[in-house]
Amino acid sequence: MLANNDILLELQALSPILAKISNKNIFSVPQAYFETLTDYIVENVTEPLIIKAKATPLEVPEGYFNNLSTIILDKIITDDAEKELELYSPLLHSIKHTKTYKTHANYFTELPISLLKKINANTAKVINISRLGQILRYAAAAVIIGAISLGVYKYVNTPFFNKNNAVSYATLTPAIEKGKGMNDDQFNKELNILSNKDISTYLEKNGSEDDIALITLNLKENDLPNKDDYFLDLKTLDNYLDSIDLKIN
Amino acid sequence: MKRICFLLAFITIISFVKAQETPNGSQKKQENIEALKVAFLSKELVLTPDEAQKFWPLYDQYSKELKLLKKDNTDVLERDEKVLNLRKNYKDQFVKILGAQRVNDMYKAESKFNLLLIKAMKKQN
Repeated sequence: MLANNDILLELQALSPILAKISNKNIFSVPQAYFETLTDYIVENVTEPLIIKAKATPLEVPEGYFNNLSTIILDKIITDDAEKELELYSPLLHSIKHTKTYKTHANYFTELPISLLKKINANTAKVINISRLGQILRYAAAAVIIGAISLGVYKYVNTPFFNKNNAVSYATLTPAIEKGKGMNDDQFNKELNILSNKDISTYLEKNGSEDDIALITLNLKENDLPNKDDYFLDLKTLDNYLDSIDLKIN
Repeated sequence: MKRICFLLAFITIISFVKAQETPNGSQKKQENIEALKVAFLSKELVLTPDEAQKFWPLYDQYSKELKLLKKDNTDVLERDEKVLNLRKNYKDQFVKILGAQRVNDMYKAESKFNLLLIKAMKKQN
């Protein structure tokens, strides 16, 4: 209450008239004023706003947007295009409806007949193939197919394409490929069909001097020339060596 | 018709080229003797599949070089010396695959094969 007295004292000092007025509430409100205040405000405020929102400054005639495109197109077709064409190119405007292409009378009715006539005039000559000719053609085709197939078979069947040996022996010579797979029977058979000439040629190229010496010992004495032969012909020895197909380097 | 002629010409050319590639009768027989030698060595050495896989490519290379040496040299002593050196050079590589003893057997087998051929000649006479 000390604070209240101080305020009163201060008020008396500042304004004695205000200080004399008793401390009473001078405002009064009707009964249940604040309970009905919101309803009252809403009633008085929203109604004019709603009316304002509905109002629009712009107006269009009824059905304006439904007919707008038709109106524009009508305007363009009827007035502007005609006038523009006439303005910018009087020549084109003058020939606007003139037909530039013409066909003579009955052109389209006569067209198929004239076309057929021209086609018949250039018909290709038909050549009949005789029965023998047909057979020969098939035979030629069969020969060609056979030759190509054989070539492909031979090519595919080379050691390079042999799957068993493809990886490791692809670059080996055919002799090694053949020799590796040879059994005893094949070995004996191949050995027995070799001629003296084949063997001597091989040993000349691949054998040692000892081998060649052994071949000479292998010759039959009866086949050797007589000593008289050397007198009769100086080339006796050469001829003899040629006959046994042996040439010593 | 043109197509058929073209095809026939093509086949003829291919056949001609192929004929040049294939060995003639004499070469074929020499190849057969080489094959016999390979079969003989296979039998003498008793190679395992793994050994064979390593041995034959090396032997192929060795054989080719040996042939070239014998073909090019007419001097007997010089040729024999070069052949010996080649065999020595290849020996280490063969030893890695077969071992020392079997490499010795291989070189012996080569000589034995030549003797076998000479015996075959005698048999024919």
